[in-house]
Amino acid sequence: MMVRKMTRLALLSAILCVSKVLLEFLPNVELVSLLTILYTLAFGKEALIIVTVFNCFEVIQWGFGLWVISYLYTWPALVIMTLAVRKLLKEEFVLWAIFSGIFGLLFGAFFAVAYIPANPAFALAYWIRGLPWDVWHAAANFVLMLILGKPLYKALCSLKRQTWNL
Amino acid sequence: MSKKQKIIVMAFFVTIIAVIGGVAGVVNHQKAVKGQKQFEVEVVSERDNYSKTTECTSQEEYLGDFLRKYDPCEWESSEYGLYITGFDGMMEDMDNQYWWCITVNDEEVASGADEILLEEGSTYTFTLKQGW
Repeated sequence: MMVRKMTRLALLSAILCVSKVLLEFLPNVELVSLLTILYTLAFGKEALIIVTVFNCFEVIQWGFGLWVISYLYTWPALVIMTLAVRKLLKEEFVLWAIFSGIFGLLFGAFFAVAYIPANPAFALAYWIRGLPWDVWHAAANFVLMLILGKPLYKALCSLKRQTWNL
Repeated sequence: MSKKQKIIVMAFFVTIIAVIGGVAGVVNHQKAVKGQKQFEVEVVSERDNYSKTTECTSQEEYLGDFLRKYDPCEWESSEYGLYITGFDGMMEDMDNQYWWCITVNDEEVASGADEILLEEGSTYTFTLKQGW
Protein backbone atom coordinates (compact mmCIF):
# COMPACT_ATOMS: atom_id res chain seq x y z
CA MET A 1 0.00 0.00 0.00
CA MET A 2 1.38 3.40 -0.94
CA VAL A 3 2.54 5.65 1.89
CA ARG A 4 0.27 8.39 0.62
CA LYS A 5 -2.75 6.11 0.80
CA MET A 6 -1.81 4.84 4.25
CA THR A 7 -1.45 8.40 5.51
CA ARG A 8 -4.83 9.30 4.06
CA LEU A 9 -6.52 6.31 5.70
CA ALA A 10 -4.88 7.07 9.04
CA LEU A 11 -5.83 10.73 8.89
CA LEU A 12 -9.45 10.14 7.92
CA SER A 13 -9.84 7.40 10.57
CA ALA A 14 -8.36 9.71 13.19
CA ILE A 15 -10.83 12.46 12.23
CA LEU A 16 -13.65 9.94 12.65
CA CYS A 17 -12.44 8.99 16.14
CA VAL A 18 -11.88 12.55 17.28
CA SER A 19 -15.31 13.60 16.00
CA LYS A 20 -16.89 10.84 18.06
CA VAL A 21 -15.00 11.74 21.23
CA LEU A 22 -15.82 15.44 20.78
CA LEU A 23 -19.57 14.85 20.75
CA GLU A 24 -19.74 12.06 23.32
CA PHE A 25 -21.35 14.42 25.81
CA LEU A 26 -24.40 14.70 23.53
CA PRO A 27 -26.34 11.41 23.50
CA ASN A 28 -26.97 10.13 19.97
CA VAL A 29 -25.58 13.20 18.27
CA GLU A 30 -22.55 12.14 16.27
CA LEU A 31 -20.60 13.02 13.16
CA VAL A 32 -19.51 9.44 12.43
CA SER A 33 -22.51 8.69 10.18
CA LEU A 34 -22.07 11.97 8.29
CA LEU A 35 -18.33 11.49 7.81
CA THR A 36 -18.68 7.81 6.88
CA ILE A 37 -21.19 8.69 4.16
CA LEU A 38 -19.01 11.53 2.88
CA TYR A 39 -15.85 9.38 2.94
CA THR A 40 -17.72 6.76 0.90
CA LEU A 41 -18.89 9.37 -1.59
CA ALA A 42 -15.38 10.77 -1.94
CA PHE A 43 -13.22 7.66 -1.66
CA GLY A 44 -15.54 4.75 -2.48
CA LYS A 45 -14.62 1.33 -1.06
CA GLU A 46 -11.64 2.83 0.79
CA ALA A 47 -14.18 3.91 3.41
CA LEU A 48 -14.50 0.25 4.45
CA ILE A 49 -10.87 0.33 5.61
CA ILE A 50 -11.42 3.68 7.34
CA VAL A 51 -14.39 2.42 9.38
CA THR A 52 -12.48 -0.77 10.24
CA VAL A 53 -9.59 1.29 11.61
CA PHE A 54 -12.17 3.38 13.49
CA ASN A 55 -13.65 0.19 14.99
CA CYS A 56 -10.16 -0.85 16.14
CA PHE A 57 -9.74 2.54 17.85
CA GLU A 58 -13.06 2.02 19.61
CA VAL A 59 -11.94 -1.37 20.95
CA ILE A 60 -8.67 0.16 22.14
CA GLN A 61 -10.55 2.98 23.87
CA TRP A 62 -13.43 1.01 25.42
CA GLY A 63 -12.27 -2.62 25.50
CA PHE A 64 -14.06 -5.60 24.03
CA GLY A 65 -17.77 -6.20 24.60
CA LEU A 66 -20.83 -7.49 22.77
CA TRP A 67 -21.40 -3.99 21.37
CA VAL A 68 -18.12 -4.34 19.41
CA ILE A 69 -19.75 -7.05 17.28
CA SER A 70 -22.53 -4.59 16.42
CA TYR A 71 -19.98 -1.93 15.49
CA LEU A 72 -18.07 -4.40 13.31
CA TYR A 73 -21.00 -4.74 10.90
CA THR A 74 -22.98 -1.50 11.46
CA TRP A 75 -20.42 0.96 10.08
CA PRO A 76 -19.33 -1.24 7.14
CA ALA A 77 -23.06 -1.74 6.41
CA LEU A 78 -23.44 2.06 6.18
CA VAL A 79 -20.55 2.18 3.69
CA ILE A 80 -22.09 -0.61 1.61
CA MET A 81 -25.54 1.01 1.66
CA THR A 82 -24.00 4.35 0.64
CA LEU A 83 -22.15 2.67 -2.24
CA ALA A 84 -25.40 1.04 -3.30
CA VAL A 85 -27.41 4.26 -3.54
CA ARG A 86 -24.78 6.85 -4.44
CA LYS A 87 -25.60 6.80 -8.17
CA LEU A 88 -29.27 7.18 -7.34
CA LEU A 89 -28.92 10.07 -4.88
CA LYS A 90 -26.03 11.75 -6.77
CA GLU A 91 -24.99 14.99 -5.03
CA GLU A 92 -28.45 15.83 -3.76
CA PHE A 93 -27.73 16.50 -0.09
CA VAL A 94 -31.38 16.79 0.92
CA LEU A 95 -31.70 13.14 -0.08
CA TRP A 96 -28.42 12.26 1.68
CA ALA A 97 -29.80 13.96 4.79
CA ILE A 98 -32.85 11.68 4.62
CA PHE A 99 -30.60 8.67 3.99
CA SER A 100 -28.48 9.59 7.01
CA GLY A 101 -31.64 10.12 9.06
CA ILE A 102 -32.97 6.69 8.10
CA PHE A 103 -29.65 5.15 9.13
CA GLY A 104 -29.94 6.91 12.51
CA LEU A 105 -33.46 5.54 12.87
CA LEU A 106 -32.28 2.01 12.09
CA PHE A 107 -29.14 2.23 14.23
CA GLY A 108 -30.77 0.60 17.28
CA ALA A 109 -32.19 -2.18 15.11
CA PHE A 110 -28.75 -2.82 13.58
CA PHE A 111 -27.25 -2.89 17.04
CA ALA A 112 -29.91 -5.24 18.42
CA VAL A 113 -29.18 -7.87 15.75
CA ALA A 114 -26.02 -8.89 17.64
CA TYR A 115 -28.12 -9.65 20.75
CA ILE A 116 -30.53 -12.00 18.92
CA PRO A 117 -28.40 -15.19 19.22
CA ALA A 118 -27.91 -14.60 22.97
CA ASN A 119 -31.47 -13.56 23.86
CA PRO A 120 -34.04 -12.66 21.16
CA ALA A 121 -36.51 -11.23 23.70
CA PHE A 122 -33.83 -8.94 25.11
CA ALA A 123 -32.84 -7.87 21.58
CA LEU A 124 -36.44 -6.87 20.84
CA ALA A 125 -36.83 -5.10 24.19
CA TYR A 126 -33.49 -3.32 23.65
CA TRP A 127 -34.62 -2.07 20.23
CA ILE A 128 -38.08 -0.93 21.40
CA ARG A 129 -36.72 0.77 24.53
CA GLY A 130 -34.17 2.57 22.40
CA LEU A 131 -36.61 3.74 19.72
CA PRO A 132 -37.07 7.25 21.17
CA TRP A 133 -33.27 7.62 21.10
CA ASP A 134 -33.21 6.30 17.52
CA VAL A 135 -35.70 9.00 16.55
CA TRP A 136 -33.43 11.58 18.17
CA HIS A 137 -30.46 10.02 16.33
CA ALA A 138 -32.38 10.25 13.04
CA ALA A 139 -33.23 13.92 13.61
CA ALA A 140 -29.62 14.78 14.52
CA ASN A 141 -28.21 12.88 11.52
CA PHE A 142 -30.72 14.58 9.22
CA VAL A 143 -29.92 18.10 10.44
CA LEU A 144 -26.14 17.55 10.48
CA MET A 145 -26.12 16.23 6.91
CA LEU A 146 -28.41 19.00 5.75
CA ILE A 147 -26.12 21.69 7.19
CA LEU A 148 -22.64 20.17 6.89
CA GLY A 149 -23.00 17.60 4.12
CA LYS A 150 -22.41 19.71 1.03
CA PRO A 151 -19.61 21.99 2.34
CA LEU A 152 -17.72 19.07 3.90
CA TYR A 153 -18.10 17.00 0.75
CA LYS A 154 -16.75 19.87 -1.37
CA ALA A 155 -13.83 20.28 1.05
CA LEU A 156 -13.07 16.55 0.89
CA CYS A 157 -13.17 16.57 -2.92
CA SER A 158 -10.90 19.59 -3.03
CA LEU A 159 -8.47 17.93 -0.60
CA LYS A 160 -8.61 14.78 -2.69
CA ARG A 161 -7.63 16.69 -5.84
CA GLN A 162 -5.06 19.08 -4.40
CA THR A 163 -3.34 16.96 -1.77
CA TRP A 164 -3.72 13.40 -2.96
CA ASN A 165 -3.97 14.00 -6.73
CA LEU A 166 -6.97 11.66 -7.06
CA MET B 1 -34.49 18.65 -7.83
CA SER B 2 -36.40 21.91 -7.46
CA LYS B 3 -36.61 23.86 -4.21
CA LYS B 4 -40.30 23.01 -3.89
CA GLN B 5 -39.58 19.29 -4.29
CA LYS B 6 -36.84 19.50 -1.66
CA ILE B 7 -39.22 21.14 0.81
CA ILE B 8 -41.90 18.51 0.17
CA VAL B 9 -39.43 15.63 0.61
CA MET B 10 -38.04 17.15 3.83
CA ALA B 11 -41.51 17.82 5.23
CA PHE B 12 -42.51 14.23 4.45
CA PHE B 13 -39.43 12.85 6.21
CA VAL B 14 -39.87 15.10 9.25
CA THR B 15 -43.52 14.01 9.49
CA ILE B 16 -42.56 10.32 9.33
CA ILE B 17 -39.92 10.82 12.04
CA ALA B 18 -42.41 12.71 14.24
CA VAL B 19 -45.00 9.92 13.82
CA ILE B 20 -42.43 7.21 14.66
CA GLY B 21 -41.32 9.31 17.65
CA GLY B 22 -44.92 9.52 18.85
CA VAL B 23 -45.47 5.78 18.43
CA ALA B 24 -42.17 5.03 20.21
CA GLY B 25 -43.26 7.27 23.09
CA VAL B 26 -46.64 5.52 23.39
CA VAL B 27 -45.12 2.00 23.14
CA ASN B 28 -42.51 2.82 25.79
CA HIS B 29 -44.92 4.56 28.14
CA GLN B 30 -45.09 2.79 31.49
CA LYS B 31 -47.75 3.55 34.04
CA ALA B 32 -46.26 4.02 37.48
CA VAL B 33 -48.02 2.52 40.49
CA LYS B 34 -48.63 4.93 43.35
CA GLY B 35 -48.53 3.95 47.02
CA GLN B 36 -46.45 1.68 49.22
CA LYS B 37 -44.70 -1.23 47.51
CA GLN B 38 -42.81 -4.15 49.02
CA PHE B 39 -39.99 -5.70 47.02
CA GLU B 40 -36.57 -7.34 47.33
CA VAL B 41 -33.19 -5.81 46.64
CA GLU B 42 -30.42 -8.31 45.99
CA VAL B 43 -26.77 -7.27 45.75
CA VAL B 44 -24.28 -9.78 44.34
CA SER B 45 -20.54 -9.42 43.89
CA GLU B 46 -18.43 -12.47 43.11
CA ARG B 47 -15.34 -10.28 43.28
CA ASP B 48 -16.07 -9.48 46.93
CA ASN B 49 -17.66 -12.86 47.82
CA TYR B 50 -20.81 -10.97 48.68
CA SER B 51 -24.48 -11.78 48.28
CA LYS B 52 -27.26 -10.16 50.27
CA THR B 53 -31.02 -9.92 49.84
CA THR B 54 -32.99 -7.23 51.64
CA GLU B 55 -36.76 -6.77 51.95
CA CYS B 56 -37.60 -3.14 51.19
CA THR B 57 -40.63 -0.92 51.09
CA SER B 58 -40.97 2.39 49.30
CA GLN B 59 -43.50 4.95 48.12
CA GLU B 60 -41.33 5.87 45.14
CA GLU B 61 -42.53 5.05 41.65
CA TYR B 62 -39.16 4.43 40.01
CA LEU B 63 -36.15 2.37 41.07
CA GLY B 64 -33.83 5.34 40.54
CA ASP B 65 -35.74 7.51 43.03
CA PHE B 66 -35.65 4.68 45.56
CA LEU B 67 -31.87 4.15 45.13
CA ARG B 68 -31.16 7.83 45.69
CA LYS B 69 -32.46 7.37 49.25
CA TYR B 70 -31.20 3.81 49.76
CA ASP B 71 -28.18 4.05 52.09
CA PRO B 72 -26.09 1.11 50.80
CA CYS B 73 -26.23 2.51 47.25
CA GLU B 74 -23.61 4.90 45.99
CA TRP B 75 -24.42 6.74 42.82
CA GLU B 76 -23.69 9.67 40.55
CA SER B 77 -25.93 11.77 38.32
CA SER B 78 -25.24 11.48 34.62
CA GLU B 79 -26.89 12.76 31.46
CA TYR B 80 -28.65 9.37 31.30
CA GLY B 81 -29.96 9.65 34.87
CA LEU B 82 -28.82 7.83 38.01
CA TYR B 83 -25.58 5.93 37.54
CA ILE B 84 -24.74 3.27 40.16
CA THR B 85 -21.13 3.28 41.34
CA GLY B 86 -21.27 0.97 44.36
CA PHE B 87 -23.14 -0.95 47.03
CA ASP B 88 -22.04 -1.38 50.64
CA GLY B 89 -18.61 0.05 49.80
CA MET B 90 -18.06 -2.32 46.87
CA MET B 91 -17.25 0.06 44.08
CA GLU B 92 -17.22 -0.29 40.32
CA ASP B 93 -13.75 -0.35 38.76
CA MET B 94 -13.67 1.12 35.27
CA ASP B 95 -9.99 0.31 34.77
CA ASN B 96 -10.73 -3.38 35.22
CA GLN B 97 -14.16 -3.15 33.57
CA TYR B 98 -16.25 -3.85 36.69
CA TRP B 99 -19.75 -2.37 36.51
CA TRP B 100 -23.14 -2.81 38.18
CA CYS B 101 -25.71 -4.70 36.11
CA ILE B 102 -29.42 -4.46 36.97
CA THR B 103 -31.83 -7.35 36.49
CA VAL B 104 -35.50 -7.37 37.44
CA ASN B 105 -36.99 -10.74 38.42
CA ASP B 106 -33.89 -12.39 36.89
CA GLU B 107 -34.46 -10.73 33.53
CA GLU B 108 -32.05 -8.32 31.89
CA VAL B 109 -33.37 -4.82 31.45
CA ALA B 110 -32.64 -2.48 28.57
CA SER B 111 -33.01 0.76 30.50
CA GLY B 112 -31.49 2.67 33.38
CA ALA B 113 -32.68 2.73 37.01
CA ASP B 114 -34.57 5.98 36.45
CA GLU B 115 -36.82 4.26 33.89
CA ILE B 116 -37.44 1.04 35.83
CA LEU B 117 -40.78 0.94 37.65
CA LEU B 118 -40.96 -0.18 41.26
CA GLU B 119 -43.49 -2.98 41.47
CA GLU B 120 -44.95 -4.93 44.35
CA GLY B 121 -43.27 -8.31 44.85
CA SER B 122 -40.48 -7.77 42.33
CA THR B 123 -36.82 -8.60 42.92
CA TYR B 124 -34.26 -6.05 41.80
CA THR B 125 -30.82 -7.60 41.51
CA PHE B 126 -27.59 -5.61 41.27
CA THR B 127 -24.68 -7.74 40.12
CA LEU B 128 -21.10 -6.54 39.86
CA LYS B 129 -20.05 -7.77 36.43
CA GLN B 130 -16.70 -7.68 34.69
CA GLY B 131 -16.30 -6.85 31.00
CA TRP B 132 -18.32 -4.61 28.75
